Amino acid sequence: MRKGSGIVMVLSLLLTIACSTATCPMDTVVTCNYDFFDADGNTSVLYDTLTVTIAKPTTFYIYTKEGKKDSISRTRITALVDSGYTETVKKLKVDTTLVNNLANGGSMKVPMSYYASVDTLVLHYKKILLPDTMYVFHEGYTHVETPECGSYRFHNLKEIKTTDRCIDRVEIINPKVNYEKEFNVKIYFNTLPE
Amino acid sequence: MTWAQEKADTSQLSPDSVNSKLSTLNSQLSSDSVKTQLSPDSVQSKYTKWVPLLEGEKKDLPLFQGFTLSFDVIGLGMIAFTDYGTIEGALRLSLKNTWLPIVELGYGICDRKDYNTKIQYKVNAPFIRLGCDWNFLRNKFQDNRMFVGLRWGFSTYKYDMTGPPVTDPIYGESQAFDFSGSTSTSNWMEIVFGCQVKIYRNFHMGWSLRLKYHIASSKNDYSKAYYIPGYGVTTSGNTWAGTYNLIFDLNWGKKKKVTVEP
Repeated sequence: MRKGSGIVMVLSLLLTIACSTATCPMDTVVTCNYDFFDADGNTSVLYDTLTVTIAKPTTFYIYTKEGKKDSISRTRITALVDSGYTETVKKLKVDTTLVNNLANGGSMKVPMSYYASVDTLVLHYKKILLPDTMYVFHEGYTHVETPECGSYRFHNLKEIKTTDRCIDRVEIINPKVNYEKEFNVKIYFNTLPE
Repeated sequence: MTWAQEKADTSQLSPDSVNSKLSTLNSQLSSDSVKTQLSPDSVQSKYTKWVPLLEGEKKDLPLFQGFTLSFDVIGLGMIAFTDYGTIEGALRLSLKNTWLPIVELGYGICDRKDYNTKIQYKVNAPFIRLGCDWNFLRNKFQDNRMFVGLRWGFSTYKYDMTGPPVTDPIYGESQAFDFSGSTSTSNWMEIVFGCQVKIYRNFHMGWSLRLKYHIASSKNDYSKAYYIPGYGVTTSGNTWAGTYNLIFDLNWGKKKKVTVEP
């Protein structure tokens, strides 16, 4: 019996050692979390359908040749260069949707650019014709919890500027953007049509 | 004149002189010097340090029982066969062979690159642990020890962490990162259980098992130390470790019992 309990103790010890491995966080999506309020500061929902887009800089390859139709591509086509086309590389901004048709939402989560210092968010409403544009100034940095878990891009919010078609004002309440899911920004809407 | 010659001469002496001789002889035999020479207590190996307790002998050891110097071989083995390990030694004082204050000094080394994430972590730095063990064996007059103890560990170090380019899934840019020369200071506690046995003369061997609790580390926004010299890997708030020690007794200034060759 004593010998048996000794073996159990040793096995438990080995098991404890074997289980001492890295526990990486499960939900590691880094988003800037916006909470919606009315102009008076009460928690509210936006009685509208909201779509958020960004103007994503995208590389385009433009091929021109006299007497031939111009060709534009997102990938490089070496065959056209070989056949005498002139290649021009241009960075153009293409609309990319980050939040799609959020109906009667009280908050939203928006991913941030890893390396840019400012994100330009365009907020489109259904009931209001013109969109709002929000400029989010931030500083991104790489965060490593353990080498096993990989690296994440966290951000420090610096400043937010916005147009005032539907938005009354914005307020940064927590500048640290990480995967903790805390609210970072309060958006006060000045019109909340039902 | 030998005792046998004196005995032979007694036949030629008067009874009074014989009695006088015998009483002189008895008094010589009972004298301290002869006792010391013939006492079994004195006929011991000159290498035995912890003298067995005899009937009626004083039960307390002198306070100062010398120093021991030890070196860990598990840490060296880990350096040879894994990504990290330590080179460490310890100086331990023995007080009545019961309380054993100890200072452990070492150098922690880690060079690990994760297979999946390709993130590399490097550190080379010294550490110190201070603490005390309690030898709980009942017989303190023997060379073997079994002990429990506590340690407080401390290390201040610089580490390098580098990683491959990470691509932004939306905007598409990518950049590598390099946190070279990040500094940190850590301290931790250890609960120690161990034993040591005499192998030959002043040479002992022993092991210790340690449960380490991380207390605090200075950290920055970018990263935290993956491996703390002297503590180990920081994947959780506590960790297990062990040492296997080669131990040498140093008898600097220790009170030794005078041994007389028979």
